[in-house]
Amino acid sequence: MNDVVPITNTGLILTSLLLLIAGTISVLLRLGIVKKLLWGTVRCVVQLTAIGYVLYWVFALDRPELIVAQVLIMCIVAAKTATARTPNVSHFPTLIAFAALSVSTFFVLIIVSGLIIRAEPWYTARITIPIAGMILGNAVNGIALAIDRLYAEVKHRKDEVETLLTLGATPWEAVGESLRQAVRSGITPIMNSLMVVGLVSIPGMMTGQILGGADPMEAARYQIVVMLMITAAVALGSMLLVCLAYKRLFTADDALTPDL
Amino acid sequence: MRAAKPLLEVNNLIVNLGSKSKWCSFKVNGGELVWVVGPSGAGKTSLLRTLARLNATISGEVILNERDWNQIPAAEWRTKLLYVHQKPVVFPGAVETNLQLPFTLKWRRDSSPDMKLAARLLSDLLLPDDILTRDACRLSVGESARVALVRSLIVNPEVLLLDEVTASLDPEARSAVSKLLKIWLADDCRCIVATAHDENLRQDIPGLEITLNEMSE
Repeated sequence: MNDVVPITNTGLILTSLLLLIAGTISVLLRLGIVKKLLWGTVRCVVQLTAIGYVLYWVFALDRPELIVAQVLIMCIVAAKTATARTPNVSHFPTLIAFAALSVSTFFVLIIVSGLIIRAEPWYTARITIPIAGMILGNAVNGIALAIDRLYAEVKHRKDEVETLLTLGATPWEAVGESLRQAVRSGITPIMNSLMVVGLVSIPGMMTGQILGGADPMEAARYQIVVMLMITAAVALGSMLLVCLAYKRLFTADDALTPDL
Repeated sequence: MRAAKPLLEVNNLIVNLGSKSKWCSFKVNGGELVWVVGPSGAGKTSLLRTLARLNATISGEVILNERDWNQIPAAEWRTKLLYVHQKPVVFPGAVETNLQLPFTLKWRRDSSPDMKLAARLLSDLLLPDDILTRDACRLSVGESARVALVRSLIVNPEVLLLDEVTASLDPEARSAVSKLLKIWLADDCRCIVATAHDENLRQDIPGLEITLNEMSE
């Protein structure tokens, strides 16, 4: 990593000039997005600078409990974000999203770090934290879509679900089709990126590595691992989520809840 | 000789209608039918749904064949008291697949549908011979209603809860349904609780008429 081209402060300021141009044009066109643009820029700079310092500190200490704690915090924030992005569902418990996200993230994380990258020890912060970030960044979307779709489907198929119940279906059988649709919806974005990766998009991580001076072939191999692990984590997370969530659609007497 | 005990006994069952509640009590013997009557919004559908345990109740006792409903898990209860939606529900796929659907569920996986009986019931209800292979989603409402009824009959419930079963049918199909229900009731271990605005149907299959009572307090 010796040949990483460093970004100077001037460089950072120049980058924000790009946004200034976009912002000025949006003002001229009265798009009403300047506030959002400004707020987004500030958050991006502050959050990433802050995480830079935190990572510096975590990498230097490299203590397993610190790393686990950080990944757990990331999972909590991800769970809160996911449950806030569901127009069809109000008050979905963050705990369920957290359980689905943390189990799938840690499962994939340990396998990738320990068996594939063979980090010594497996919890090496320099490897685990970025991987967890990659997984969670995608899983947030997947989980949010799965929750939303699950409720939307069951609402839409209320009569079908109830008819199945009257014919003697268990709750699991009655919402089977909705569960399948919810998982499918959760993994759609990552599936789409699998299809176009390399053809249309060069993913952020690979771009970063190449800009940083890495061999494109090596960068591609890493990117394959990253894409596949993200897909696995999103799929596992979505499936776990619907398994944990579907019972909430029913009363204790196995009827659909009236406040759906 | 009739059995001394009624097949279905409903005691002080509270029916939740959202903003208010009503209650009712009645008994049905094997081979009999009870009509739930009253104007729209009186809670007739809610009563049927409560009996099928699709709607929750605050209190009340329902006894089927001397067994209290609290002793029976919901899924099993619903196989004994089968509610048929007013708006017929069919699933994507052929009519045949629709009729076999209940037998793919856990509670009935050990039994298989009597397709001969199904075919006879379909033709008794004036449906064409090729109906089994037709796509259920392309049937008319009246056809769907009859397919849904046959699907309910071949799983052989003890109590049929019929919600305006003839609402979407023409007079001929209606009398075919009423004829079929009368045959179905000839068996003493079955009964029907039903709603129908159609007075002809109520005269055709005579039964005790009950209404839901307002709560006194």
